[in-house]
Amino acid sequence: VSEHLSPVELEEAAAGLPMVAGAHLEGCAQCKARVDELVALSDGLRVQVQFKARLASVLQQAAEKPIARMDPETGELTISQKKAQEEAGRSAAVPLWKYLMPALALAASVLAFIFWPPPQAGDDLRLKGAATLRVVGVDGRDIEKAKPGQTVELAVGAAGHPQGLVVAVDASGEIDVLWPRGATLSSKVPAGAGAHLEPAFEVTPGSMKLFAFFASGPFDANVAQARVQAAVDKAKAEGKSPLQAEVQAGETGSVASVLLKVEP
Amino acid sequence: VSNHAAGRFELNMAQGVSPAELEALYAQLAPAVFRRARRLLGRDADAWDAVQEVFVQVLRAGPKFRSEARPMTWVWRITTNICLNQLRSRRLREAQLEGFEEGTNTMGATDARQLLKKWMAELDERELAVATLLYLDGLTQDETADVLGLSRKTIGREVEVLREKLTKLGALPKAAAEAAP
Repeated sequence: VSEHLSPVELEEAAAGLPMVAGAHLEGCAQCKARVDELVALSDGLRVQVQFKARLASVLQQAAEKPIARMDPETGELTISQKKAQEEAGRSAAVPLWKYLMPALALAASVLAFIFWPPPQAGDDLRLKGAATLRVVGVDGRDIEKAKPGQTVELAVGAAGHPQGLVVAVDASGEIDVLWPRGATLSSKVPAGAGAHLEPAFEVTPGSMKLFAFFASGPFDANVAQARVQAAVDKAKAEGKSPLQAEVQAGETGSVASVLLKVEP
Repeated sequence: VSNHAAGRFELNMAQGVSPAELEALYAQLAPAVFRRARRLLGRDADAWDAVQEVFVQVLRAGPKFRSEARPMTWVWRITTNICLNQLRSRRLREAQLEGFEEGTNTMGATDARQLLKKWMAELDERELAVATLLYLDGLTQDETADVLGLSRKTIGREVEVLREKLTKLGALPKAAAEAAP
């Protein structure tokens, strides 16, 4: 056990939060100096372009329309931060949340492709092409209909994108991450036009539609799920089944889908 | 996350943190989040990604976040989870683990990097979070329990199991090995 403040306590002090060990700080020159250093570092961060840009993008997720877009190369905003702040102030003055809720899934889906990170250094060079998603049997043949208990695999073409994630929706509209199983983030996709994603999975009762999302950098599973959710909501609003939901590709990513009919 | 979870999200948003409130929280907490993420991820751009994601989580948490007695511990936990998930997704590429420019409370940068690599290969998600908070951040067991929202009893039990596992793997930090369990 250290006699000095922990990293969390130091940050609490630097942020001006009430802290458990406030008395210690008053009598410890070493911790006081570290807090002063953190305060100075924080001030330096607050004037960085990224600091403001990231706030704008978070606020954007709570707004009906995009407020700002950041160029991943330069970090510049194409729409001013001032507008973001105006939007924030307006939202603070009037409780708009209930009006914003219907747009939430749509806003998340827009952000999914606006803010997906740029390619990581060291990624393999990949040939681009159309994104594809197929369900294949153990013999490698495409499957459109399957029976519960049958073992199948997913085969994808990632259109040159190194990161991917597959989301499934069933006829009731239940959405789940199918690959990587239960993941919160996308994962690296094997290269190739028909790369198999492991592990294979066992078909459960009920047809499902699968959506494969591909991007140049890791992305949050929630974002992909939100896009599917928005598509499902749209399908339902049009009187269609969730299995008829369609997700369009974003600006910097690719999407492919396939319907897997499951019959007893 | 199922569609039911998405429903909870909307509910939280409806009752939750207003944009103005979020902006104030961001100004107050984002520097700490950035530093914490930068230290684990090693690159500014990735740390900013984490900052953004953490505050999206704040939005989602809504009233729950507001009721936190120590918001910094909540933010610390979310930041840790997000960063460790990012690191996992990078498949331990060496370039992304070179962020330990400063030593920790108990070890140097190289040792920390090597240990984290080993932990990520061997530990499950919870164990990795506990090990990171305890041995890389240098938090106490009590504070680790606070950050992870666990009881003292639970964290004590988990640390005991973790120490045993890390000892067998030869991945228990020297300082921790020398200290009393």
